Amino acid sequence: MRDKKHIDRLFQEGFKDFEATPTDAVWKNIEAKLNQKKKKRRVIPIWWRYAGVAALLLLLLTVGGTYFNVTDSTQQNNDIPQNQVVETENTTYEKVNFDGTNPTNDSEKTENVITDNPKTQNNLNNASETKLEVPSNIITPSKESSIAESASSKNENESKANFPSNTILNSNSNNLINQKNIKNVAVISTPKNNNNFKNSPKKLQNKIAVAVSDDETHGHTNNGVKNKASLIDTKKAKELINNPLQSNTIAEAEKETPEKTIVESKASPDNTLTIEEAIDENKDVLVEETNQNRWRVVPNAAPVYFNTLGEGSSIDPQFNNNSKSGELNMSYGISASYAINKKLKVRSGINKVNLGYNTNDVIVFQSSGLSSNTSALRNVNGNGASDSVSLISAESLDSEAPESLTSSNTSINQALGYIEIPLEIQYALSNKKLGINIIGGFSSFFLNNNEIFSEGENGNRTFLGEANNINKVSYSANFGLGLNYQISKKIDLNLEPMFKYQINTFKNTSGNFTPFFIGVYTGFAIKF
Amino acid sequence: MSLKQLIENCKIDDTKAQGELYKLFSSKLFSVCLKYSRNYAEAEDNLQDAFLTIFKKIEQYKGKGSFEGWLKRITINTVLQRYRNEKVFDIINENIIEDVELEVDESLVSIDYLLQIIQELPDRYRLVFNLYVLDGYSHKDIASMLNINLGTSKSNLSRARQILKRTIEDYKKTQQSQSL
Repeated sequence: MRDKKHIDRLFQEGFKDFEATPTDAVWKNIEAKLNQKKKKRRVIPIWWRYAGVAALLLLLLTVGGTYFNVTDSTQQNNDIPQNQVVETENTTYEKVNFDGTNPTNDSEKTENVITDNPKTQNNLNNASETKLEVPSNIITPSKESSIAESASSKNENESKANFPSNTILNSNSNNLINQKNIKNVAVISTPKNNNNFKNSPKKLQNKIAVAVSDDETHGHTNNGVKNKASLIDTKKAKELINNPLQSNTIAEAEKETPEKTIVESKASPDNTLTIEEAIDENKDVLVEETNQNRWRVVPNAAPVYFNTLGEGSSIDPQFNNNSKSGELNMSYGISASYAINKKLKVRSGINKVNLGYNTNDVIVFQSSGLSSNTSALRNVNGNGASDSVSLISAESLDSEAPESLTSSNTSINQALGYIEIPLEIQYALSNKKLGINIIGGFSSFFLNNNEIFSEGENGNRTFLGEANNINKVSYSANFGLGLNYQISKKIDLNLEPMFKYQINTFKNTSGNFTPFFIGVYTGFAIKF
Repeated sequence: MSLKQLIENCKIDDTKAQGELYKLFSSKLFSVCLKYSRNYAEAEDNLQDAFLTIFKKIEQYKGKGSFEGWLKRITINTVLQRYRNEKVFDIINENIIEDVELEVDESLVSIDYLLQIIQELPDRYRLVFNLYVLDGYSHKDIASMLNINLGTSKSNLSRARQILKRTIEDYKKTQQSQSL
């Protein structure tokens, strides 16, 4: 049979169903190479990962620990003379005050509200509110009911805005109840300081009771228990103020607690049960490892805005009510992140941060003779030049003060510089070309600049000295949203608005001074 | 086990699944290797490399498009990798003769023979011919895959056809003279 046909057709038809079986040796070779690779891949990356994390933690703990110990001892030294000046009761209030505004507590409480069922939610809200407002309750007696002695003036007028409406309506008799309440809360919150938020003895009991039936190593369950237990505590506190009708709901809540714990403890074995699964997960990670760019380095810069949430002053009690205005500064640095899996990244880095804020409505005058001790600022170590300059809050002056004096308003500018080392976790909500991430973590701050200036209306800056109440090492809790736009396979453009709530920044602030800062971090991520 | 499940298991480096996958697709992919390689031994080497790449990259297969097509693409790429860098003299200015029709007695040209003459083609001709004629890639695709320009791809193809045609015609002549 002879045909004239295109040469392409000839080959196409010829190879249409062409299949050929390779020799067995091929598969044997492949198998051998696969096994080789598995061994290599299994050992090295895991070792790398854990060693990396361990080294990082070790570094942070060592550095943090040494600095922290140093500041602790100085703090104690500072505290002693202060106790002599301020009345003892007052200082305990202050401590309670700190507790009330402690972020960890806040979050704990909100968690409680969330986890609770709707039936008890209202009560709960009340309970947590009363606890939150405790500081203001403590402060009020000095002004409103005069039960407590006329304590130091610095707490006056403070955080009035925080009063829940029913507290304001309280009569004197209620204030007595409040006092009771304060005592209870004080009992609850004092051990908190020592025991790392393990609240009252009551709560500890609960915890122990649960721990018998429950394995302590299950972090989840413990958390659950803690929340529940502290929930009951707040309720107990509430019970003392309100009529006993509510004890029913409390009993209910208590009944619920063990049930829930049981459920949780049942669920927890599932989490830890399959080691095989865990190994499989590791395998997943290893396979990915060959395909993904796990590391990225991001040089970044950010405008940062520093301000305080509550009223108060880090400089001197007399400025508690003065208006404060945050300052816009810059932070820049470099960070590196490592992708544990597709969704989770761990990141750290180093940043230089400048922060600053102004205390407005301050009057500066030259004292003609010797500088009076009374007008020296509590938390500022003056330098020689500024000794003759005195500062007074304009608010503390009477209205009869001469016009000329009040009109010459200046502000006190406090400037801080830090080296920031963050340790954050980034969770990817979306991994597309435009990625969206949630970021959370904490930062350690190492102080490297500390200056206080007075700033006149005409722009004159006079160096006053440095603050003596700033910790060398402080921390912050960080939350933020990360957006990254993939420019190429190797480069991303990042935009990360971050909120950093500062912890342990000042040793000795007056009033409710809770500093924070906001930064919008932008940078290019280089992936490799 | 469904193919989908098999792929999932391969993604977690399950050796058994990998063996299964090899059994399912090795002969198909080996035929690709044979066409694109110079000889049987190199074809086996290429098949081995292709499967190693497949197991490494199977994580990236998201179930879009046919799995077999994906495997084939990886195999072809693996082979191209090997020959891409070997230079073949580019003949661009030679007259492109489009008369590539020929009379064939199909009983004379076995598949083994066709395979043999393809393998004997210089690398670049063989690759272009395979890609264009047997696997349906366009000249544009081929140009980017082999990192050559469009004209080179076209002239290489036409050159491959000519060589094949001449080889077959010569072969026919010898067959005929033998049979005479």
